[in-house]
Amino acid sequence: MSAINVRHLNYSYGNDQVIKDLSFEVRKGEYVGLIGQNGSGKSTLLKLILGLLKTKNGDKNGRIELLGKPVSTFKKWEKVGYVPQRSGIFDKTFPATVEEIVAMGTTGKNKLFHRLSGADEKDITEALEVVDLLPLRKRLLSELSGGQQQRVLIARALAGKPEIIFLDEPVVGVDTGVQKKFYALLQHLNKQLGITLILVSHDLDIVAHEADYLMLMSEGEICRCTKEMIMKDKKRFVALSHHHHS
Amino acid sequence: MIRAFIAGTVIAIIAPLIGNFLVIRRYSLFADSLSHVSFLSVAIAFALGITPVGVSVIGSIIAAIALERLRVSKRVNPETSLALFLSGSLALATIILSFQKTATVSISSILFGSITTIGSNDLLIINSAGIVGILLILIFFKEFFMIAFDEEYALVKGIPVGKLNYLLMVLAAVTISISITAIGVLLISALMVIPVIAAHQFKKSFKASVKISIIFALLSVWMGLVIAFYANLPAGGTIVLVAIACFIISSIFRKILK
Repeated sequence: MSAINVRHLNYSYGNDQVIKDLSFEVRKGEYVGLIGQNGSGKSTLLKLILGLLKTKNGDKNGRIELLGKPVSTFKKWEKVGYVPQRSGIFDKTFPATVEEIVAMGTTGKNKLFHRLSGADEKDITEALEVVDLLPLRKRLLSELSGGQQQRVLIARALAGKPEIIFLDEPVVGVDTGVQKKFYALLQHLNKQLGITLILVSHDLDIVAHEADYLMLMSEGEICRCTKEMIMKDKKRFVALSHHHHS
Repeated sequence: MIRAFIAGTVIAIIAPLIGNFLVIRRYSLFADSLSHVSFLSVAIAFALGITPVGVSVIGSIIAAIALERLRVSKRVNPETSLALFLSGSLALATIILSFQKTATVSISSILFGSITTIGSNDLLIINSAGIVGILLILIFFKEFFMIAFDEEYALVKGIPVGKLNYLLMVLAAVTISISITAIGVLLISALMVIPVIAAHQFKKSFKASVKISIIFALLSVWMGLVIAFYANLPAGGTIVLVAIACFIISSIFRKILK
């Protein structure tokens, strides 16, 4: 069963075609690293899969299926976790507790008008347990360390009982020791809980080490590569993934 | 006086309720700009000889939608467009009012509010619009909170971010319009912002902060009205000074707790 199925996808900003006839499949339970330099089209691809961007002219520019349903009519967004870059969203003065942030993850299945149910509370508690933050649930997000904040965002993704989680450069701005624990947590989610993971990163070494295989994006095209392929020709892969990245 | 308390209570609930979302989105100046658009609308209503509240509601809703469109289009920096609306409507209002030689008393009551002389029609508008606004905020509370924290995440979760942003702006516009007769153009934005930042001093959850901010706003309105009545002071100004006192006391409280 496929978690993501992309067929002949094209996307342009004006005359600039950033995605060219892209086709690939991610099967359920896989742990995939998506790498590519800035401007390679990986952010655009992520946005298309998450429904933040729509292809023009409908099916003429390709099809994207998420958990077996076309993205355009996909409804079960609670089954899709999303962990953004921590640095991009974090506002020091924002008054919200860990619990309140994680509760956002249950929205989607709740739809509008819904109040948190007992089952949601249970899901929130379980999610906080997985990321080892249960004792901090009443604390303000701004009082936590960078690594803890990142785990809050993971817990938020887990609270909806997701089948797939997208992580967009999740460890930017988090120190190396904490990163190690973070990747161990991702392994746990993937291997023990069976959650499909799509890890977007520019850090080839770590992604090659952690993920089952890599998808390398370059100039709007994608190539699926195994760890062995990368190790053989590492220099070229490093250049393709790192170049221009700040 | 009873009318003043009823109107004041409704405003003290809805103003910080909306203010919380404006403050955490760093959009506090939005309330200020809209109140000046309201002022312009009232000036137009005077010139035409019609009820100010209705014109003000329509005028500020149009301005709120225009401001949100500008923000989404990213053609103009949001702060710049707010400043543009603020000074533009004030400028136009002063010119329109300069033709109205007789209306000076009413103008001061629009600038500073006259909560103690609220008519029964005004009260009806304040109550009905206020209650609808409070209900809408409560219904979409979770969604407004998500959008304020992380708009992109809310989009991924299938929340109609664009529509809800417009709804919040329109609710802010209506709140400001219905409040100007009571609190005044120059002071209503203070009631949307000051109780909120006072509540934030306690470093509680978002829900708790919202509740505390409403308590502060209610205290400010009730105490302000009583003090103004006995000391023969303008009500709007007294209310805002009590709100500022709440903020100062909260800040000291926070320092002591540290």
